Amino acid sequence: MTGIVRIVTLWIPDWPVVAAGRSDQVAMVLRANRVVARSRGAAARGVQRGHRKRMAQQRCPDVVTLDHDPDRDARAFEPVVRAVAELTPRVEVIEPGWLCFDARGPSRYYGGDEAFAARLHTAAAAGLARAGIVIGIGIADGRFASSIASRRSAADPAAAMVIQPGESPTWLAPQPIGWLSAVEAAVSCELVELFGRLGLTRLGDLATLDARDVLGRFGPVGQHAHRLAGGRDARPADQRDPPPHHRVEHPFDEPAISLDHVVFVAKHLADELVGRLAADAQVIIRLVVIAETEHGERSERAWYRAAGMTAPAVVERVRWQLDGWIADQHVTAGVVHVALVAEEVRAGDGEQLGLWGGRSGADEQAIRAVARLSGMVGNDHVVVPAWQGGRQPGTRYRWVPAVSTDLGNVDDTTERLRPASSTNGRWPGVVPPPSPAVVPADPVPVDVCDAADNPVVVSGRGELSGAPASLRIEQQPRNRVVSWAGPWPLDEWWWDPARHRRVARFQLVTEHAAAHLVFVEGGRWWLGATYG
Amino acid sequence: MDLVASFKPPTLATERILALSQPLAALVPEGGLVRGRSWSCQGDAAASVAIATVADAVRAGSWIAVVDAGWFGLEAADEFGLSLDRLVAVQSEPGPGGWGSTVAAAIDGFDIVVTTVAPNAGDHLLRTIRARLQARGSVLVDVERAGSHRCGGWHGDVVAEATTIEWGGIGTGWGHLGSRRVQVALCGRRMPGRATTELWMPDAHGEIRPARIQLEATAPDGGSKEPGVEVNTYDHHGHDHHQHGHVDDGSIELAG
Repeated sequence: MTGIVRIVTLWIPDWPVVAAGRSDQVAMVLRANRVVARSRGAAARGVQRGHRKRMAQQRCPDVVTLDHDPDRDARAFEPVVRAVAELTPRVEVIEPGWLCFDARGPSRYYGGDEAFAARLHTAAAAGLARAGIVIGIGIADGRFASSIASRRSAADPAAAMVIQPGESPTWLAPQPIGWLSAVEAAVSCELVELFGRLGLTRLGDLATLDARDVLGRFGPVGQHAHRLAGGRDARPADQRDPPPHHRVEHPFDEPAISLDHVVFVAKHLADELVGRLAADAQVIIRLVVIAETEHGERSERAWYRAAGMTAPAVVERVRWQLDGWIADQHVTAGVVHVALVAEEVRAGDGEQLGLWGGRSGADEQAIRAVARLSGMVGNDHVVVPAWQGGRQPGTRYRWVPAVSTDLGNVDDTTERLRPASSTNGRWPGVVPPPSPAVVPADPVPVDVCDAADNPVVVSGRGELSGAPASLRIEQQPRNRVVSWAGPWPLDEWWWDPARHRRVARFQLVTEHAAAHLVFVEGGRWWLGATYG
Repeated sequence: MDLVASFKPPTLATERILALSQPLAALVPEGGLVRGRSWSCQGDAAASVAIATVADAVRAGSWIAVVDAGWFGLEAADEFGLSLDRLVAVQSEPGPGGWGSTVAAAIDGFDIVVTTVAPNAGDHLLRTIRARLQARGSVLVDVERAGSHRCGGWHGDVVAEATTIEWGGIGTGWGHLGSRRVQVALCGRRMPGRATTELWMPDAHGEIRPARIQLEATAPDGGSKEPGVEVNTYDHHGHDHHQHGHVDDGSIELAG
């Protein structure tokens, strides 16, 4: 028998901005050039999640830009989790800013759902120790309905959203189908878009279909979505103890006093646990991390991820949980015991995910291909981009051998591509976007002449001998210049005689609407890039 | 519409399609990048339209290999929304066998391969490459470079001709390149005719959007032309007058 558990979800919108302490400013957090979170002030000025950085800055030029920092998010959420944990024995964190737990016991204890929601709100707000943060609370049968309810609650700051027992399917039916990918990591945007294209725009539309047809047409992921849409969360009712081989632990010979040491051990535990489950074709959905110190202090937390956890994801959560625990001085002795328990698992369907272009299948294939290609042409000829920062086109990234990185590891990749400095992401002296699509490996010599066919000369003070009127690239015919801009001088490495460069950059548009970035250095003109 | 009745076991057509960014997807009958097909990008804006073609698919999770394309502008790709964390660049060995075997290996491992087809590639090699694309379900995007020889025997299933119409934001001695209007024409043996459109690539905000859409359905046998359909004109610099609709967590706007 599968019972539906009544779940309370607490959700704080735009948590990355709150974690950075900027929620009362006009600020946004970016990941891979896109906005993942923004403050209310920024939202009011038109910055939306999903915007590219440039679009957001156009809307709101003085918005403060922050890089995404998952560690900061997790650390800042710790006090909230601890505050909530005082009301309930087991809190489950899905991601920083989002937690849930079984509502039945606490609700009874505090006199009903509405009363409990108010109590929870007070506790969480106290944990935040900051006023004015929107906290959404939803209570409903099933994790899915509860999550959506918490989002709805956040949009209406006064009230928690409580769906009466048994009402979840009815309440879910008219909700837009987009909620599936919005709150459920296992359901991709592509699948939801497909549903939309096929005419299923509400959860109820999907729920009325026959389960077998859905399974046949969309596979296990579709079946999962179908169950959620009908309010039938796929959670087993029996809370038996997980089998012994779902638990790995490590007693320390000497109490570990550094987080790094504990994380190092956790990495091995995680590899072993994930490996064991993978041998049975299973992935971890709910993980419990337990740590104890010599003085008996204990940290026990459940982490939930519908899409399943890889070993790096497990280690990441261990680090988040213990970092806050140790840093906030709740411990008075070293760690003597660490355990990881895979409380809930599901069949790993990597093969099926692959059909939808799922990450795991595609990652594996790419990594294998990289190994093969490196063998064919050499490690140095199979490369991936790494951020280095620079003002000239083609210098913002450098290339590193693909085999020297861990391509399947999200953390490694993010680190590789993340701008190291935090100067609001904008180097002074950079030619503004759009950037050119064609950047030759080496600059190509060109002739830029004025109307009298004399080469244009740029003085040290940036004065031109004449306006650029024609451009000739290598052996190609001379073209007339119809628009141009510059000079934009660049004086780099002036303190290092060997590397000192003084260049003046120009953009030229020819009569055929071809645009180029050229520069003059030491009296000679070069083609830096083409806007192809 | 009887939704229930329309749901019987799989047609499998849609699993064979990768995401294609909207202004281009509107022109292609399948509405996306069909796996196993090849694209050829030509014209002075060939590189940009190539990046625009593949950006959405890479963002959705596909890996991309860029073979023998040392000119590939990473910053431009990043600005067009192409996720650099799934991009690998490969340089083949010089000589006739080099490019062919490298591209074949890249096709095996990557959903998307961007390259310039080697001018001296023989018919046998080209046939092998096509077969491998079909078998593996990858997409090959060939970018023809100005000033280089093209490979005579190679024809993309879809040919995208991209010609810059004009640049905005730059004058004579002032401003800087800000926006560009490009005419893109899609034709080829997998297109039911020739579809032409004008795109901002990019507009003043850095987005790729339609400037004006005109569909000329020219039947292959030269039959009658249907009148164009004009949609949504934008002003000269690509600023529109509506709220920009961005898909936000499944089209739901929260916590305003």
